[in-house]
Formats: sequence, structure tokens, C-alpha cells
Amino acid sequence: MGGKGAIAIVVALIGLIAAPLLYTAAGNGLFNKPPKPELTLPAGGGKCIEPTEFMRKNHMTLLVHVRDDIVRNGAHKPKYHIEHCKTCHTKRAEFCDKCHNYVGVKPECFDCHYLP
Amino acid sequence: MSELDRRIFLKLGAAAVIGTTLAPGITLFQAFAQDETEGRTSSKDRWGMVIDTNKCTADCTECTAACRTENNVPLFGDPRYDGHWIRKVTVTPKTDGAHSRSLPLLCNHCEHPPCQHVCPVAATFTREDGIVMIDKHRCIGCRYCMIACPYKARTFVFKNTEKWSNPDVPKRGKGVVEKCTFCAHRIDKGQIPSCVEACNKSGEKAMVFGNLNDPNSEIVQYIREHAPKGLREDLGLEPKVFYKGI
Ligand code: SF4
Ligand code: SF4
Repeated sequence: MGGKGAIAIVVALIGLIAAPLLYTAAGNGLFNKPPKPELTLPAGGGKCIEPTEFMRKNHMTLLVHVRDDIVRNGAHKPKYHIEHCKTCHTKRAEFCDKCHNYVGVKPECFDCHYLP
Repeated sequence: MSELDRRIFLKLGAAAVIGTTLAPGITLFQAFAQDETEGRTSSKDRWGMVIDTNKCTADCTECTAACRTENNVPLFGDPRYDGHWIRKVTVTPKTDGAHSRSLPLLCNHCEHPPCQHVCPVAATFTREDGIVMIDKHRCIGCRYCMIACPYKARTFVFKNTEKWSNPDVPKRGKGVVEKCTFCAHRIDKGQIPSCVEACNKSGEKAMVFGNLNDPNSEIVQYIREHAPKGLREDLGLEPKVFYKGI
């Protein structure tokens, strides 16, 4: 027997233990990817301030920076402002919520701020 | 941070990050390097208010109503939860009960605000133009400031407000402290606070608002002429809301 046999037994045991778990997980659809949210480009064909890829990863950083500047310094004319976003992305359900639901994050912005 | 510090900070920041790529797809970007003093609050301004208690009538609630609508200050019909940014109080001299006065009480935007000094997370801060504000994103709801404020100007948000009466102004989620902002969002647009506007409209004209740093402003002329007093000036907080006739 030796080392090889021991490894085989361990692998078999792990497989035995994991099998029901994997079975249940598959049954619950954990391996099925949820459908990607389908975003329609805003009408009017305007251009975003930054490329889509960039905005996808960094919009929250931009928003927080601008937020602090507005709250603390009353800077109401920053280069980037959520008001600019709103000119194209008019509906929260279409624009913000779809992706946030998809990735399972719940930003608290809209508890206080109004975006229809 | 002063304007100068800020600018230097931004410049240094910009020099360090331009073109820096941390990892594929993660780039530090130049948006942080904006250097625009335009439209920001300036220490040249010092906003203040005078209230003429001789003109303020007891049953008038124009200012408080206007404030509620403008700033989404909730009334739940339960005094335990109701928020107040400005409230009407009646003060009666101990010696002379007949001469009681009705006056609005709001945050005095103290020059030395004790609320700010006690705040453990620097959520309460003073803007360059002297307006004391709460950054509700930061407030942890510890309520030290409510204890520190001698004017009882602050209320705690116990419940989420249901609706926006004014969508342009955020409402508050539960768990933070709120108070009068001198309608900072309106001041930034060059307007006067909505309580003052409502008082003027109602014809009572008991409130004057303006820039204490501008020698030609209406409020400075008014203070020169009538020498109104701040509340409890003995505390040394230098309130910026003055009352005439108390
Ligand atoms: S009146 Fe109260 S809340 Fe307003 S600045 Fe003074 S201490 Fe702070
Ligand atoms: S309740 Fe909020 S604003 Fe007041 S002291 Fe605590 S953290 Fe600061």
C-alpha cells in the first residue's frame, strides 16, 4: 500500500463527505449563474465622463469624494456631480438597482437622497 | 483643512498619481486633482441672523412650517420622535409675568460650538463661512452633541421619514442627529433661509439674515442700530443668531 493508498483513501473520503453537499447545492441552483442584468444605454447617445469599465469599478469612489467636497466645502460646482449622472440615467430602478441587486450590495444612499 | 492646505494636498496628490496603474484595471485617476475654488464656501462670509421679538407674534408658525417643508423635518404626531430645527418658545421674565415673549429658537451656529468639540468622529464641523453642520454620513448617533448644546438645538432621528416634502434636500435615516443648517443649500445658491423668507412673506418681517462680515449688509446696519443680543452670551460661545427685545 504505502503513501499512494493513503492518499486514495483520503480523496475517497472527501468525495464521500462532499457529495451530498454538492448535490444539494446544485439542486438549489448555486452553480447556475444568475442572468446578467441587461442595461439599456440612456437615450440621447450622450457620453459618460469616463469609460464604462472605469465607472463600473470606481463610481462609488468618485461619488464619495464629491460628496465630502459638497458637504464640507459647499462645492456645488465640482467637475463631476451626481446631478450629471442624472441627466442621462434618469431611473434608479433601471440604472442603479439592477446591478446592485445582481451583485447583492445595498447602498444606503437612497434612504435619504431622492432619485426617482 | 484650509483652502491653501487643500490645494497643496491636491497638487501633491495629482503629481503622485497621474498615470499610476496599480493593477490591471485599477487606475488612480485625475478626477481627484480638481482644483476649483469656484463655488466653494469662503471664510469671507459669516452668516448671521437677527430676530426681532417685538414683531414675532405668539400664534405665528410660518417659520417652523417653512422649515419643515424645505428640509423634510418630520412630524410623526408623537413628541418623542418629532424633529425640530426651529421651534417657537415663549419666554416669561421671572419678575414680570405679563411681558412674555414668543420667539423662534434654532441653532445659533456658535463661533465656538461645543457640539463640535465633543463630537468623537468629527461629524459636526464648521464650514469656512461659519455654518455649523453635521455630516450625517459620518454621525454615529452617540448624541454627545445634544448634551453639549446649551440651546437644545439638536434632535435625534428616531425614525426614518417616509416621504420627501422637498426632493432637493435629503431626509435623514434613523440613528443620526439633525439640526438647522441655516439652509446652507440655499445660501450656496445665493438665497436666504426659508424661515426668513416665510417670515418676510407673512408680513411680520421679524427676521433679518445676512453676512456679518459685510459692513454694508442689512444685518450689520441693523445690529449697529439696535444692538440685539445673543442668547446666554455669558457662555462665551458667540452665537450668530441675535434677538432684539429680550
Ligand atoms: S446652537 Fe447648539 S448645535 Fe448650534 S452650534 Fe451652538 S452648540 Fe452647536
Ligand atoms: S451624535 Fe453624531 S454629530 Fe453628535 S456627537 Fe455623536 S457623532 Fe457627532
